[in-house]
Formats: sequence, C-alpha cells, structure tokens
Amino acid sequence: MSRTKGLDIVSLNTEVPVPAPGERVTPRPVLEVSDLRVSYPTVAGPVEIVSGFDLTVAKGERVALVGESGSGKSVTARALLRLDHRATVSGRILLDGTDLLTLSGAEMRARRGRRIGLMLQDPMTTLNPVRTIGSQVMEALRVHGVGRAEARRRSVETLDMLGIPDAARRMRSYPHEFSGGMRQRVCLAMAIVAHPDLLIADEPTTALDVRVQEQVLSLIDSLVDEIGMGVVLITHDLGLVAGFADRVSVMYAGRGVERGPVRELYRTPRHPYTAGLLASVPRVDRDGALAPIAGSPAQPASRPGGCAFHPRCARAESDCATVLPEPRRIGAADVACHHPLTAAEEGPR
Amino acid sequence: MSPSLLARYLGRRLALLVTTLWGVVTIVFLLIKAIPGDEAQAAAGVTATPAQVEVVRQRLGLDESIVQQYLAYLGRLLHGDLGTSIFTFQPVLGDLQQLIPYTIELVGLAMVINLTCGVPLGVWAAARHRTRVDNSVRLAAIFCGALPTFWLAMIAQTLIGRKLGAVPISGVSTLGVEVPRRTGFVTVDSLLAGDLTAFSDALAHLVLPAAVLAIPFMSFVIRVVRGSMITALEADHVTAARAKGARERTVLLQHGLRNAIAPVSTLIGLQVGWMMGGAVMVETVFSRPGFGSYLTQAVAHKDTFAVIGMVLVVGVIVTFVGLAVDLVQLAADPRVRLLETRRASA
Repeated sequence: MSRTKGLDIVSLNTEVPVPAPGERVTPRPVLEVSDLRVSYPTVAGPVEIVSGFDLTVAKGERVALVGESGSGKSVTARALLRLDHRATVSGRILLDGTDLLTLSGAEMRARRGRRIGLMLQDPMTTLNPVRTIGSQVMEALRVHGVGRAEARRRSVETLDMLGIPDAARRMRSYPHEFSGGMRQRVCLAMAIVAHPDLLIADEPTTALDVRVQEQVLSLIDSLVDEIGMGVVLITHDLGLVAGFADRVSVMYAGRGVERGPVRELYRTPRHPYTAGLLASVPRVDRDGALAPIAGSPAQPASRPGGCAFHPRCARAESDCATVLPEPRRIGAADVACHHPLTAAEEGPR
Repeated sequence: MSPSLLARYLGRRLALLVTTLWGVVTIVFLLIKAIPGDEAQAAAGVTATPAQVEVVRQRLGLDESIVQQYLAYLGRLLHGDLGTSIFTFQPVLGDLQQLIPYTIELVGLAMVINLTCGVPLGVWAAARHRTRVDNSVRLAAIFCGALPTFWLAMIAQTLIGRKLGAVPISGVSTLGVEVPRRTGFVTVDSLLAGDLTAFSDALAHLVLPAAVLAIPFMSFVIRVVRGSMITALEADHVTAARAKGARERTVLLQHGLRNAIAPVSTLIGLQVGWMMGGAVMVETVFSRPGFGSYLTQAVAHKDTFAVIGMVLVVGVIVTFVGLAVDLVQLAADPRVRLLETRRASA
C-alpha cells in the first residue's frame, strides 16, 4: 500500500467532487469518524462516555476538539487508536477509508504511531523516566521495523527540526535533564517521527506555561504544512483554538453539539453551550465580568435525557428534556440544538 | 556517572559496610554473652569436674572481663581469625569454609527458582490485571506465602521423593558418586571434574530442597512484581508506547518491568538474607550439611565464636548483596544516579 509521507505538499485533490455552492472545498478526508460510541464497564454496568460522535479531518487540516473536563475528549482520542482494551468502541473510524474497528490487533498496531500519532498532555509523565530520550523517540520507528541506524538518523533529524539544540548529543539524555517545554517537543517528536497522516494531540499544552504553549502549538502548526498531516487538537481552552484551528468541534457529555469553521463558530455560535463557553473565555478586548456557565457538567452515568445540556441551558424548553436533538446544518455549522441562537441574537455576547 | 564519582560512591558504601559489620559483630557478641549458662561448662561437657571446667575457662580466655574478651576477639577478627569452635575444636573459619558452599548452592538455586517463577507470574498477573488470571495468581501467591517451610519440606519429601521417587530426599550426593573437592560447591566441582553423572546427581539432590525453600519467597516476589508493574503500567509513558505501535511484550518489559526494577531488586536483596535463615530449616529436614546443622549445634553448645562467625559471614553476604542491589538501581534509574552524583559532590 502506497502512502504519501515526508515532505509532500498537500494540494487540493482534483478527484474531489465539485462542492455545492456555499460549501468549503476540503481535501480528501484522512479521518472520518461517525457515530462513535465508547463505553466502559463499571460495577453498575457499562457507562457510555462517548455516545454518537462524528468527526472529519482532511489531510493538512487542523481540527480542534473542544469541551470541558469529562466531556469525553480524551476517551475519544484513545478510542480512535483503540488504545484501551477495557473500552467497548462502536461506530466507524475510517482512516483513509479503512475502518479501524474491523482491524485485527496486529493491523491496528501497525497503524499506531505510523499512521496516527498521539501526543499526550503531560510531558513529565509521557516520557519514561528511566530510558533515554533517543531510545524513546527511536522506539516509534523501531517498533515498525525501521533499522537502528536509520531510526537514529531520523530521530535526530526530527528532534533537530523541532528545535532541540544539539539533538544528536541530547539523544543520550534522560527526561529529567530537559525542561517542560523541551520535553513536550520530545513527545511531539515521538508522535510524528514516523510521519503519520494524522496527529491527535490531547491537551498538548495544558501542562506548559503560556509562552511555551505558543511555541509548541506553532511547531505543530508548521508540521501540518511540512509533513502534510491532519491534526486533531484536543483542548478545553477556546483561546488556544482561535489562532490554530481551521475547524472546531465542540463536545458536551460525549456528543458533538456544534462543529464548523473556526471563524463562524467564534463569530456566531449557534449552540447555547458554545456561546456559553465563548462567554467564559477571558478576553483583553472586552470589559466586564466573565459569564461562567451555570451548573456543573453532566456526568456520563447520569446523563440527562434529551439534550444533555438542557439543565444548564437558559433557552431550554420542554422538548429539550425529552427529544435528543440531531445535528443539522445552520450556515456553515452543524448544530445539535432544538433552539439554536440565530445570528442576530449573538448569544450572551 | 563519571568513574571518579563512582569510585567515591563505592568508597563510601564500603565504609558503611565495615561499620555495619562491626555493629553486627558487637550485637551478636553481647547477645551470646547475655544468654544464661556457662560457656566453659558447655565446652567442657556435663561430666567435667569443676577443676576441669576451670582449665577450659582459662584456655578459652573466658576468665577475663567481657570487655577484654570483646577486644581480643575484635583483634583476632582483624587478622582473619574467627576464633576456635569450642565444640569442634577447629578454627571457625575453616568450619565455615567447608559448609558455606552447600548453603550458598542451596540458596542460589532457590533464588533462581524464586525469580524465574515469581517474576513472570507477577508480570503475567499485572498484564491481566483484574481478570481471572490475575485473581488466580494472587490466590496462588497468598497460598504459597502461607505454607510453613518445615511442613512443605516433609510433604515434598513424601509426595515427590517417596511416592514418585523422582528425586533423592536427603544429603548432597549419592554414596559413591564423588568428585574431588575444589570449590566446595558440589555442582561446580562435578562440572570441573567433567563428571556429568555427578553433576546431575548433585542437582537432583539440590532441586527439591531449593524448590521448597523458594516457594514462600515466591509469594512476595509475585506480589511485589505484580504491584509495581500495575503502578508502572498506569503511567502515561505506557500509553505513549502503545500509541507508537509497540507490541504488548515490549510495553510490558521496556515500560513496565524496567520501571519496576527498584522495588523488585530491593525485595530480592532482602530475601537473600531471609533465605539464609530459611535454609537452616530446609537443611535440617533434608539432612544436608551447611549452615543449618552447624548453627543448630553451635547455639545448643553456646559456641560463641561459631555463632558470631556464622552471623558475620551471613552479614557480609547480605551487605554485599545490598551493595549489589544499590548498584543495580544505580544502573537502572538515571534519577538515582543524579541523586548520588549530587550527594557525592556535596
């Protein structure tokens, strides 16, 4: 199977059908997730953490997956790689047209790292403290049969590209000899050294301070152009998303509530939850107190019926508590809400 | 860690080792003296007349004060003289040199069995955490830990030795199967003599007592390996390794067991000492020469120098094992190296 990798320039694929008027032109999707459901066994029976989530990522596209803690973002990330054997995953996860959920363990393993890279939140714990940086970056190639010398060469090259000074020598260093930001660069190197088509970055900047956050994000950003991969950036920080993502998907209680191009979503949020999230982000260009969303996030085990957000929603009506809203197209966004905000209302802003 | 720092580290550890051994000698010396009963009477025998007892007392220097006896003993110790046994009338060092190999052989094989069974079982249970495998291994570990050694030894003799007739149940070799003594280790000597029959005979005599000795210790190894593996496997770097596409075997060994080395090696170090103690019981039941028979006799006869000598030898072995464990951890964990480097340069 041939695969594009390395420094290919992502171009618009001419085979893509001519888009309907008003639709954005997007390259062939590298990842198409539909109706993803993830449940975990508990003493009280299985609990569904993610219940019907859709996501599409094109090559060279930056998609942000946004939600509060406990909304199912990280569970989604791990489910996409089928990393947690305790989880029951259903739906469809198409990677370049192949449904990952139908693959054998060995077939899935061959795609981890090589086709999909995963970057985790905390660089302090993502690196094994007793092994050298070099061995851990090289591992991502070695497990896919790359020879030692070749793995070393490419690891040094990648670390160098990600701005680790004196990379060849630092290969012999241990994680504790690096600063937090440098460690996260190493984690990024582990995730992309095999030049995957897709990078899933699960809160990659949360454990870092603000300046380092920017550096790491811009590194990921430049990699998208350089190796032409799609990126799913998982975060709870909407402020981070604005400058990075092409499209945003907002998640609440294991479901996508709104997704669309980043500009539209910021300018005219349609789902009351999205509007609430935006209103609770501190902004330097506006005065006034932040408006937190009332109540606390829905718990997966006791998810409210209908729209899970309705107990916290100012716009909720009787149907919200009973009927699950299906996503529908409003403007450029897909919104799962019975009573979405109109463009004129501007929500709480 | 640079060679000079390593040298300083080793120097400090050896100094500590000497201090430890001096403490061990002193405590054991005092304990022996605190046991009621007359050493001279014990040495002279129950039928000795008071005059004969006095002669023995003077000959052994027991008429001097405890301080003088202690200092005299320390002085001789520094010259490698562990004193003379009042029971065998032989130098204690010579007696021990005869017997140590048997016990080390037994403890060595027991440790091999302990680790080759205990570590994989612990890893297996951790890999199958909260499944039937895990529960069964845990149950087996608790069961092993609850078996008294003397009882296990006799059951093994009866079932495996007598009923199955699989292996001999006493001694170190079959009468007539003999090889020239060079190292004192029967297995090693038979290999040196190129006598494979003698080697398999020695091994057959060794395997049952070693297994019996190992089983209760396996219980701890399984539990500690399992516990530290479960902790290690919860770490993010394990998720990261799986996300790279690593095989589960690689994940378990490179990111699980490798990170669990510290607690496991600490336990193994402690177990060497405990096993020397456990060997006393096993040697007695299996009628093997070694520390067991010697220590039993020495304590019974209030044979001060024999007991101290033995404790000292076990102490030396245990402290060196402790040093080895620390070196293993130094090699396995760069953070330990960093700590020791800082301490050495402080």
